[in-house]
Amino acid sequence: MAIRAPRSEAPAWLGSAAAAMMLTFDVDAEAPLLADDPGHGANAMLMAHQSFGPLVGVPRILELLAEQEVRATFFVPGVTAERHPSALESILAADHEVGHHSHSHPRYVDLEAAEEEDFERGLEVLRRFGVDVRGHRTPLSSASPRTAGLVARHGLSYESTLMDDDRPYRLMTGEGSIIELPPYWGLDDWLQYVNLPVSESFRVKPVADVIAGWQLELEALRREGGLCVLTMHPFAHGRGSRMRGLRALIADARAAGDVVFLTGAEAARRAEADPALAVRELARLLPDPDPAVYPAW
Amino acid sequence: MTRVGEGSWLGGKRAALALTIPVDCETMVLAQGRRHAGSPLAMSHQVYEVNRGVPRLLSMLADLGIAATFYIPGWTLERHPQLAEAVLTGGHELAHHSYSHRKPTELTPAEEREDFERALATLRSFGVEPAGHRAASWSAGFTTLELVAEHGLLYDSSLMGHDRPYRVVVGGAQVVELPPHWALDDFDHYAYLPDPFVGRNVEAPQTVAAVWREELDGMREYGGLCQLTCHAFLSGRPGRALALRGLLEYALGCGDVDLLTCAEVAQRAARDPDLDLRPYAPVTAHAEVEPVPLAGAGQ
Repeated sequence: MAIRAPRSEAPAWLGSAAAAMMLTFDVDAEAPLLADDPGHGANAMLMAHQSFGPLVGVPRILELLAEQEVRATFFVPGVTAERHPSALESILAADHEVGHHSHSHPRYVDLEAAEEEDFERGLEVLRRFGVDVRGHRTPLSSASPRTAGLVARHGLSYESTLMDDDRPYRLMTGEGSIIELPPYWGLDDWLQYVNLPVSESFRVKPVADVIAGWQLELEALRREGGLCVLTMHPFAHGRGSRMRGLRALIADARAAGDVVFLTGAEAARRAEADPALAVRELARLLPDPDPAVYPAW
Repeated sequence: MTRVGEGSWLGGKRAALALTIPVDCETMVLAQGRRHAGSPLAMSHQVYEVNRGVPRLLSMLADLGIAATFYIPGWTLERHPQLAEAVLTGGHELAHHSYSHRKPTELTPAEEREDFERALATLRSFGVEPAGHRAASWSAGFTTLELVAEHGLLYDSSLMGHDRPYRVVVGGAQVVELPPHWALDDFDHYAYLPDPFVGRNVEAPQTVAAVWREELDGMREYGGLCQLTCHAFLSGRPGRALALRGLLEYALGCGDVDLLTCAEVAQRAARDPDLDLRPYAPVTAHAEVEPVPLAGAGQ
């Protein structure tokens, strides 16, 4: 058991826990590849590879979460909900949280007015399935300067996209404030498990290394008091070897006795109630560099 | 033939370890295009070090009683002036790392000079007279060290011609070179952004610490300078900082490794008569074979 530093600065949103863990699953399925190139729809291997997520990964993940008695947050694009309604229904039936993850998984930073259209369409699909949508994760982490404002304007309480902290904070947008629950690349399985002949592709790492890295992060956060947001993709994570790694990670975290598992909505509710929560402004995040210093656009 | 402990810059130890912490923040991304100022994701990824990375590393270094060298671009110091205060209050070295983090190899000599001198003025406005310089992205050209020498800085830390300090002859002057190395840089182990491209690899912190420990043990045999480059937005993440702490504790426990700032290493090196001397001039390609002629070319 790791030695813990004195918890004089322990944040109120943690309650009596040393650290919080948020298990999040981005149920992308075919969407990111089709958003990249609709022609991928004619590639049987790619489409089958992506369908593994809702068809095989999600049921295995739900079974593991039930066995470990923890709740998770599933971010589901609208087009994926429409293509694989039974995956969404099984997530809801098992009492997990479903969050907004765009409609068609485009790069939001490239869109203009079309961003709001996509955002509203994805939200409408989830609501049609009876989802009480509390949070949003920007597809491909491609937040535009408009995205956080859209989340606030549509009455959602949180977003989980920006990476400037390892604790929740309040993000002031021009259209109201939301809670940011920051994820991070080092805690995202895509960068260590996803190898594809197209799209963003990485070298596959051994499960033992990935899990050891995530366990070290959790140990560090238990010493300091922080939020460990894991981002996993059922098409990548549903493989047996990786499910075994995840099971060990969850079981060890539970056995530590001082880690609380939260859904995004639960973490956001706790953060909203914390009077000492850090407050940041979106406008301050975005500099206005002098073109004489940075001439390249 | 290498004699262990050779060279007075080692001060009787078998190796030296200098922890260097670049705090590029937004500049690293803006240097690849001003448009990235409109990317909340890229900006948040970089500004993590102001919110968490630098405070976490400073607290760890205070715990361990180690002084480090922070390389911070002038633009970053102006936007986040609290960084200079925190670094200096902690008793660390603050050194020159350009103004804008644009690569010298992509600037005209006049642009490079303007950027170099603006960074110097910014450091001086914080009361810092820098002892050394590191080129943005280590992309030194053949005018860079001339600026270092002309402005009276003692050392540069951009070139990779040795794994010990050496001297570079720059016109009538000499600059102490403290060579870094790509394997000892956290960037190639940890850096990723979808846009702009900064790398595409994420290793487990234990793997990286193992590589660096092997490097340090090699330095202990060959008498070298183990100069770690740990970006605060990468190595300042919780698990990575913990792995780095383990490595530093190992180095402290070796007993034959001095943990020094770059300025301290450079001051020792400047007094050492036995350092290698290297020229500073571009290499000329052999026109008839470089580039390698293609079969059938010219027919």
